[in-house]
Amino acid sequence: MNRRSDTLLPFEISLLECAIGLLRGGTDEFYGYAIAKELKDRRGARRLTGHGTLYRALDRLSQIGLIESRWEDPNAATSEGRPRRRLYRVTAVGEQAVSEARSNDGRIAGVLKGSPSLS
Amino acid sequence: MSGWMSAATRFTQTWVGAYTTGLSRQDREVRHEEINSDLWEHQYDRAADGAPAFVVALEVISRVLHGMPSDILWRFRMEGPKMEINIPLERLAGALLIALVVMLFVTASISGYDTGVEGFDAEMTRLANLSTLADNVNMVLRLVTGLGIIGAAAGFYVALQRRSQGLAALAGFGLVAAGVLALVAGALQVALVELAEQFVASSGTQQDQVLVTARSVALLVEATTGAAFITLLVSTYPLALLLGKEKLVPRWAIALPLAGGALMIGAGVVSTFSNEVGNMWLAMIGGGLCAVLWLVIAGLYLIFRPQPLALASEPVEQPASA
Repeated sequence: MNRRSDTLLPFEISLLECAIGLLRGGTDEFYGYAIAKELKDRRGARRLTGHGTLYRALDRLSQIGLIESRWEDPNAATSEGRPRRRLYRVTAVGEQAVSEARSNDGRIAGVLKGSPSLS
Repeated sequence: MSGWMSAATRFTQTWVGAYTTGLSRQDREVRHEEINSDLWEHQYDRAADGAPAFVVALEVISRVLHGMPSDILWRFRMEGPKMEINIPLERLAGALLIALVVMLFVTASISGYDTGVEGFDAEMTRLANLSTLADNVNMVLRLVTGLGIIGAAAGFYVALQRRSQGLAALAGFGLVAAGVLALVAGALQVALVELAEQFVASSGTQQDQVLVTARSVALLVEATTGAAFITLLVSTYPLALLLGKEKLVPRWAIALPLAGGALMIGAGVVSTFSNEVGNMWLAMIGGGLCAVLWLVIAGLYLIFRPQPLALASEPVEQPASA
């Protein structure tokens, strides 16, 4: 809880990398279960990430502006007979943050400097 | 949805409900809706893989369990740096009702001596032979119960006074009285154990004197215990009225304390005009059980009553990215 706001955890970096991978593959938005599945496949893990771990990380990344989210159109979900998804997208700051975090032991202070969500 | 998946979904939603309790409606709705979507996607995706329902259910439960520490940390962050726990007062009242059931049983268990002239010396010997550990556990249990009842009185008053100050004060006053009586009964019980030890250590005339004093104290223990128990039971009536009036528990449930009260009054009348005590005790026990049943039903209902959750109809705004 006392974690520095300018430092990313390894899981958060993996999540962002995964989302960027999806973005480069043509999927610019993702939802919770989809990214959990992608993470499992990429990391060769035996199980899907826990709900709490996943949504806490997504919440924090949203708070510091590395991803942004919107709720999908309820009509689209209704027509497919499922609950509507919360769709996430990596921001430009998020893309820069991953590179900096990888080369700077998780620290992303340089990228976040001037970010309104941290001030 | 299979029974396995229904159970896993129910488990997940109960956990989400638990750790989001007390957050703002919007925060709760967002988390509920997001998890519900995840559950649906998980089930749909794995069904397409041909995974058996019980395997998917176990996967879901595993994800909930593995995420619990993060859920709790997330919750604390949502509360802010003071980590203030914001529990709805109705749920606090429910937990206190369940605690009262335990306190009722502990209070009632204090009594039970054979205070008749014949055989009281055997009671004294039995008491004196109890281990120090048993004596200490007894004493602590009674102290905690007495203080707990007084604490519950304060808790009920704080939780319910906004709804009806009069009834909340009445219930609080009754509970404080019951708590004080329970503490007095506990103190007298400690004195009785001391007297029992004096009794086995003495002989002759001195032993007889100790026995007379001890018997008086035992009668006082019984009287204060009974008074504490009845005061505690009677205190549930203003609570029942208040919670029923405010529709915080189903209104039909008020029939239980009413029936209990009628049985106890009936038992009192019978004992006044008749020598038949067997039926009187049955009626007393029946009356007490009705009140206890109400406490359990009302307590569980208040704790687990689902809080209305209208799904968010508008997209949730996130902080703009730089």
